[in-house]
Amino acid sequence: MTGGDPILDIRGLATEFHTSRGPVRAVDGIDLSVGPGETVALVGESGCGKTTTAFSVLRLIPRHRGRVVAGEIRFDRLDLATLDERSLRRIRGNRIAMIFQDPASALNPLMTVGAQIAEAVRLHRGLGRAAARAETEALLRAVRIPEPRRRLDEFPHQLSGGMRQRVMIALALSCRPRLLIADEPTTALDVTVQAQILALIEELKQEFGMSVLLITHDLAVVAEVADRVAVMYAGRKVEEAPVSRLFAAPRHPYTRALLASIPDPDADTGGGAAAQPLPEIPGRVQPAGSRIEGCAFAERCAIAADICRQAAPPEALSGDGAAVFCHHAAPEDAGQIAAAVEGRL
Amino acid sequence: MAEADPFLKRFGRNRPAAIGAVLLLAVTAGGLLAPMLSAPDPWAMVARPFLWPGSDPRFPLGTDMLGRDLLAGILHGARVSLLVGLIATAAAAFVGISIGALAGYYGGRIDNLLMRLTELFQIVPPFILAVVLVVILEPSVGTIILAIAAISWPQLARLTRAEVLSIREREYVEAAVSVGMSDRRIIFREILPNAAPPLLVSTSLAVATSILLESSLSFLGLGDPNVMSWGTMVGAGREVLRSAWYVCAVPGVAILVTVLAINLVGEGLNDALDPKRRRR
Amino acid sequence: MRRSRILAYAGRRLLQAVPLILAVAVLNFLLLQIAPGDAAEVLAGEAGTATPEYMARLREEFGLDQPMHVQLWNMLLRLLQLDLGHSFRHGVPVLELILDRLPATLLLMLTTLGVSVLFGVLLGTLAARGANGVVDAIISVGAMIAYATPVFWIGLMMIVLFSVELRWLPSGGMTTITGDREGLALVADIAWHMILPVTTMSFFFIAIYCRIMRASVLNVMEEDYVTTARAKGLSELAILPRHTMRNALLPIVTLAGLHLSTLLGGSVLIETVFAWPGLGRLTFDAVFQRDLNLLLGILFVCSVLVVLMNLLVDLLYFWIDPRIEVD
Repeated sequence: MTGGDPILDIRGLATEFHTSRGPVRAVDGIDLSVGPGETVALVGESGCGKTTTAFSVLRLIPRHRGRVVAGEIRFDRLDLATLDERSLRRIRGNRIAMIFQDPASALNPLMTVGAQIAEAVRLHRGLGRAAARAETEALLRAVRIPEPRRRLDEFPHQLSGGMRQRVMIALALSCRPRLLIADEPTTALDVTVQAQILALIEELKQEFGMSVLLITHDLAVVAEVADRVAVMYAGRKVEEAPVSRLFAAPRHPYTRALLASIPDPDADTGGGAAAQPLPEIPGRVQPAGSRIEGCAFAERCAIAADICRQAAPPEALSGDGAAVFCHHAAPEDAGQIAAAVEGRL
Repeated sequence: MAEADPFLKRFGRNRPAAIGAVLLLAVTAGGLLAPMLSAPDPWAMVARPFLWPGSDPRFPLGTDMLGRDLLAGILHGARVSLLVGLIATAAAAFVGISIGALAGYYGGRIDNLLMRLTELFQIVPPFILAVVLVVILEPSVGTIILAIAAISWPQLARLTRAEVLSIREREYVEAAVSVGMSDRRIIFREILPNAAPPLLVSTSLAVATSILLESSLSFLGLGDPNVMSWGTMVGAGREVLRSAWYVCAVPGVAILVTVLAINLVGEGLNDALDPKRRRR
Repeated sequence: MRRSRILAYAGRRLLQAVPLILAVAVLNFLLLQIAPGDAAEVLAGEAGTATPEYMARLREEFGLDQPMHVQLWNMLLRLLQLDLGHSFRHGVPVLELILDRLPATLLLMLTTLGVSVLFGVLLGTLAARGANGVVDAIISVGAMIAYATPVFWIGLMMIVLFSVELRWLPSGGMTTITGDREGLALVADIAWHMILPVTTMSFFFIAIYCRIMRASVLNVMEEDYVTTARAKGLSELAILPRHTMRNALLPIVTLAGLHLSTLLGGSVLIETVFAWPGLGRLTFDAVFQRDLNLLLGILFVCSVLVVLMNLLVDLLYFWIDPRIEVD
């Protein structure tokens, strides 16, 4: 951890979606914190609740779709989970900004990119039309968009995917946020562009002095930029550790399975640290929401015992902020887990 | 009938559609039983003129400026409205679906030509074209049906074409082509049955539009002079609008109820045939 | 650069309109052919009422004794000179009659379209915002009923209520007969007379636009860029016009363009009910007097009008939706 009190501190967050068959819990009691200047990655397979967690922080889930039902989201001595709409709007896009998976659909097709950025600048910083335009141009320059003045008056469809994501980043940075939430920021982009965007985020993080909460399913990206990693499975956090430790010594069977299924980077021809597809793990993800008594991963776990199906695993803490939720996480079990995972794969 | 059950259930559970179906049945029954429920001749002067609705129990809807029973007019008018609506729509559906299917199935120059023709009919203001046709051919039930059919087919042709275009690409059609099935068989056995649900919905809604068109034409004095029609009744009532507005109001309500009923049934069909399209 | 390409596109579309207009002319010619009896009789109105001299003049003027293709050719040549023939009933050239009445109809039509789009969009957005609530239910039921009501009947009922019973509004005409108003007073007087016809004709179109807009807003509300706008810190009220409604409006524009020809047809009924001195009223008179030449002329001019207005709508679309490429 980079030190200091966390910028964002999530405690026991639970988020439900309304469905025709009643409420479905997509996020089920997550703890997560992001320190100043830190990049925390939230990883997991699609449908595990990581994007819902990100959306919950700014309460971006439309009211008719679902809502945060429990927990605290501490940001700057405020609780975003219960904050009134007005005050929350002053934080959105201002002190916490967000970028999304698909920049093609995240930008309004009928507005020029300049107008879309200027909208945020004028809203939060109270700048006039001309000043906002100048500031927008500076922002486009900051995200390394060539010919920023000309780009101001272009529409999203006139830009490439990478350029659009740069516009999204410029928009996110427009009010110098303290926290950037990046939801799969490179997934929809070409492989060659992915590395550029990641490098840009990293660079701007230093320059603007912000923290990053990175949502991704791509472990190669995690290895590249994250300081700390939290692994999610079926709406719950199963393991959290500093990035080097997680890759070196994963403790949860799920984490191990995830890591074990990444191809050896040395054997990879040319692609380097580019995105790896989601690893194949035996079994299917429990649909987030179906209530589980015991460990959510029990059904797919190679070493699951009776206790795993009966009781939720307790949090096993160790030093340096690492934690794991597994009945078999005691050090003496480590060898057994490793053997079982090897055997399965 | 066992397979029809879920469909009927979905339709029945939809309350607006059920209301529409009941109203439509009532209108149909009224039209069919018109001679028994009221005077056999709606033109007959049976009572004192200008009897307001409710003032004489023998004539619940009152009488017009010539002492004709408005109820008799409404019941006989239902016959014309439904008859014209159904036959004109059937004719439009026949032409529209044929043209749309040909254009969509064969594509290329046939498609181009047929779609240009459809486009032409969308440029010419449809109602004015119907008016001109009825004027040229002299007003009668037959010419009114022809005129309405003539302006109603393009919409169904476009819809059919779009459906056929998408269905043509599906595997079972390609399979049928590869085993050498004839074009006619493919169109009638493979494609059209699969395009039926949206076509059925549009066709049922077209009946409502046809009834509105018929009443509009007869309101303008282009109704069949030998047949009592709701539009004709409204048109005739205009002359006494200031003193006896009910003469206009009553047949208008009949049009409104009938058209609304058909639209409700059509929407119900739409929801029942396409359960995937969740109503939000 | 885009502007010059749009101009080029407009020119190309105008050229494409030429065969379409020719086709309308041929359709007109065919309509004349299917009429029972001697075409001269049809053109003259009810057979027997026209003088023999006039019939002879008609036969000569239209070359009715010549072969069909020659007749068609002659007709096209006349069209090229903007000659739509003569109205027997009115004793003046058809085109003159039509152009005289056109402005009144365009005023009524375009006002109706504007009012309909405005209220349809507002009500549809309102219904979508409260989807499945009470407001939505009321608006949806209202739209369903308005969609099923014959327009001429609404008009008559409006006259009964607002002119006969309440005496608030004039029951017909375009101006007050007694007054010789000028300038602003005249504009106000015309606007006053427009309230009832425009309201009447709008019911139907508001119903359509309201339903389309409701569905469209519900779709757009699920779009990622609306989430982006929310994440920017904009309030729901600020998001609505700039992000949601603007995008949701696109299908309405398409539909409104298609409705231009429906509106021209509807004006026949509205102008008949409200004695509005436009093309629709002229059509009704022509029907009443069986003035076929005038009717065919109206059909032709209206079709050309629709072609031209569709072109304008296409250009409007370029202005609204920057994604559309000019080719």
